Amino acid sequence: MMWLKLAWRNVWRNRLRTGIQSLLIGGTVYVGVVFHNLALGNYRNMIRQATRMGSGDVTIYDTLWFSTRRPSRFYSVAPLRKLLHTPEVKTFYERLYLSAFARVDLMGFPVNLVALDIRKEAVDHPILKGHRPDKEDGAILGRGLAERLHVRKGDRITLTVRDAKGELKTLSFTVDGILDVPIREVDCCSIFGDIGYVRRSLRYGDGAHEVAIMLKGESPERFARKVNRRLPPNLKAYTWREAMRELVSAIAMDYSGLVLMMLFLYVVVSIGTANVLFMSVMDRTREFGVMRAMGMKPRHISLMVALEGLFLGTFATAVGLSLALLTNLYLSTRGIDLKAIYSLLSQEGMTYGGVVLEPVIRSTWEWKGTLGYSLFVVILSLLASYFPARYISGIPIGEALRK
Amino acid sequence: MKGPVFTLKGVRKVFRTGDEEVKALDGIDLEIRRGEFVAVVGPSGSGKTTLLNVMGGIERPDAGEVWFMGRRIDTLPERKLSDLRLQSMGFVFQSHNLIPTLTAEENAEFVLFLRGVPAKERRRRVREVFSALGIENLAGRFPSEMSGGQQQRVAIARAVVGNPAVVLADEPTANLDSENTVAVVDLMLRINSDSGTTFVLSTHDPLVIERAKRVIRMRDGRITLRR
Amino acid sequence: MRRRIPVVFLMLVLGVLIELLAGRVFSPHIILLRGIRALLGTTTGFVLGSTGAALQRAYSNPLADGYILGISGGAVFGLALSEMLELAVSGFIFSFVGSLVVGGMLLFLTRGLKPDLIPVIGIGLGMFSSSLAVLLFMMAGVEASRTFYALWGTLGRFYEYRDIPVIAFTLPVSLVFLLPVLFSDREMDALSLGRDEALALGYDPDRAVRNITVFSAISVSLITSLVGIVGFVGVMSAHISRMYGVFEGKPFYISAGLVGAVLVLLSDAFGRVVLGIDPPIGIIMSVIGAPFFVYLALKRP
Repeated sequence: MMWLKLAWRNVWRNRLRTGIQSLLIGGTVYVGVVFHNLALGNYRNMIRQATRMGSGDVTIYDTLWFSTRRPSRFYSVAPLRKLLHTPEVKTFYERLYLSAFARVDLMGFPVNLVALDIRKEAVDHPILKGHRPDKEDGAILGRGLAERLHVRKGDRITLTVRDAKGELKTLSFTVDGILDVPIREVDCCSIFGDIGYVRRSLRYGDGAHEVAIMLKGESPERFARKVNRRLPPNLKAYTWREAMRELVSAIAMDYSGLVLMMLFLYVVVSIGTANVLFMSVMDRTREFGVMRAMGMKPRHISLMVALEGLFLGTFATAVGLSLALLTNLYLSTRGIDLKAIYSLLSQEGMTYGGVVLEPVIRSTWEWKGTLGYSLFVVILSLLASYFPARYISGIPIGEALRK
Repeated sequence: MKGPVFTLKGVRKVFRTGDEEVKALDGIDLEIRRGEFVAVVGPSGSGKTTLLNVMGGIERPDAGEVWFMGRRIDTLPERKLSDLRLQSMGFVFQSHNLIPTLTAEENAEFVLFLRGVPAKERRRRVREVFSALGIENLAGRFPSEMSGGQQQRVAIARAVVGNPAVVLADEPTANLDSENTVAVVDLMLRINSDSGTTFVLSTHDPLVIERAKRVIRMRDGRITLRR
Repeated sequence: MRRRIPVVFLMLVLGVLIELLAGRVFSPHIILLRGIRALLGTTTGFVLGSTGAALQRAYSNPLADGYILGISGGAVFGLALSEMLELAVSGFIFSFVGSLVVGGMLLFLTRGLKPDLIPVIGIGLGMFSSSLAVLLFMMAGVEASRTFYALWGTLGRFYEYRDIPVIAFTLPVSLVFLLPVLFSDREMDALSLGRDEALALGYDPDRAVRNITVFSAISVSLITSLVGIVGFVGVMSAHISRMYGVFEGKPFYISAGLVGAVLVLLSDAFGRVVLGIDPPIGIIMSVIGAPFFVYLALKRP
């Protein structure tokens, strides 16, 4: 009790110094916790967007198609439909990816024809959101492609494309929508058409290259394992982590950048804390001399200084953490609108690792990291007190008394 | 216990600052018996403080022997020394004696706390000593709220609260006016005669010297006069 | 004490040689580039080491070095800003201006206060500006964090001939600003006797402390904008110099400076040859520095 009282009062002895120091320590906790949750929130947003337009939570591919993208490796969806009719599955999307040649007047362009159920996907798909073509042969394309092809809404485009048997066919679409797509590869070269129309015209039956499955909350890994046991050997269910390696590694890179920066802050702060504790201890050299003359032992001094470091760290962390939680409450409900910043930063718009981002970043609540960052700061300020404590108790008492 | 409290034989201590050597203690032989009230007198730089520090195990002599209550202390390890100081000695310094973040009462209590005395017993003992010394009114005050004389009284209370065999006081009245000086010395004399605690104090104040029962005069690290 | 300086100097010569010869390629071009590194490393180490020693004496705080003045934060912030705005101007100018702004704020905020508050407020400012910088880096994205890595301190940010003018200008200027620091030894020796004694000897300790602070800040700012943040050098080299028995007067500053130079050169050579990367010296220093401090703390001072 005595030690606690003494340490607590010592901490508040030099208000200015302690105030600044708490601000630093608290600030680090604040920055760490807010950025951690914001970053994770951002990643979650990225993943959600990516799974909606790409792989889904779990995707079923022909294993050879997954590695080669050879169009002939499509598979029939009918046997899967029963398999996917389970309570875990929210919905699933069937898609075909074909290479085609678009002809306008005398010019021709290679394009990617993405055949999917536009009506169904319009609910979730970040690019197609809200689009409902009236006609069965309606196609949606990016503004870049539309300009190259000199087409406007209502015009017709003709594609040359191989059908399921490998024969060349011509397939025509009516331009139903022209979109501003922030992803360059999509903008320049992709045409979205209705999968039913494509299947019928190109004799694909109920074939698909990709069945993207959205889950209700089940872990993708567990679901993929379950499905894999019942799939034929040429098919495999991939989780989004396996299907979107680039995104996963982009996220890992980004987060390690954050960790590197936080590490930098933490090093700065612990050196700062050690310095401030040092100064506060050196100012009291004589006082420690008197205490030791009275019979206080070096370990008592270490204990006292360590307690001071602990109090300072805990107090500052408590303040920083509560402010961080308040901020996070705001950021997780309202979010930050980054539209302005993104457009300032790049002409390409809000994409990251090939993913369209929502302009509003919302932070999430991730408790492990939140507590980790806070606890780490407390431990660091405790460690920072060690060196000053050892130093001061190493000064001979007689010398300390002469100060 | 019979016999001397302190026995010093041929104690020497030299301080070096840069190229200069200062002989703070230059062959001190001294014996102080139980219950004595000794004033070590001399001009500043004569080695008074060093003598007290050596007796209190705060500084180690370069040569000679220091015996305290039948035990040789100049060779004891630091850990044993601090135990010894805690159990058997009290200290009063010239100024800034008290821990500024503790009240008068808590300052005195701190010694007993370090000894591991239970809280209740500590408070009882502190109250007893404070009322014996007539400073109950200071109990709740912080050092910054007390005058120099009041601080020294509290420091004395802290020095004697654990019933030490000896109190070593280094210029305890140097920063006090004569009225306070007399009061503080009389307080120490009263404790000396009431409980038989040995007092060794350094001073150059005539008011203190004339009240001391025994005077040791020092100059340049040597004892020049014993009375 | 003075006699030990030549030994440390010899070590520096060895360090420079190691830096020049360490590696697999020995073409004249490569050796010239290594020469630039060696020059950069020597100056960096010398400035950080001697300012560290001077600041430690000025604030009687054995943990002090140039970065307690908040300079690092200013430099990071400047660089972050230049990254964020994607300006063509070299990050060098930005980080120099950043550290000067923080240094100026520090002096402005501590006007009339006792000089021992300068480091406390300096650490505060440094911390604040580094947090802002981290925020900017986060917003600028992944490319920026690679730049941030360079900020941990590397001699490899300048490796082309067109960078030579920048180096040729910055290094001498930083050494010129170091001179008042090196010539503050008498005041500091007086101060070590105590404030009153220093005043009695006719020195103004507060002014001396302030001078050391200002000139160290400028010198370290210049270096930091060139090589980034090389932590621990100031603290470690002063301690090594003290362990070696040189602890006061000009010899202390000079030997700490030389030891600092050796440390920086060796870490760079070590990183390049053993780890095979363009080494972030700051991180290598921290890896060496942390055990060094544990050792210092365990050993009775």
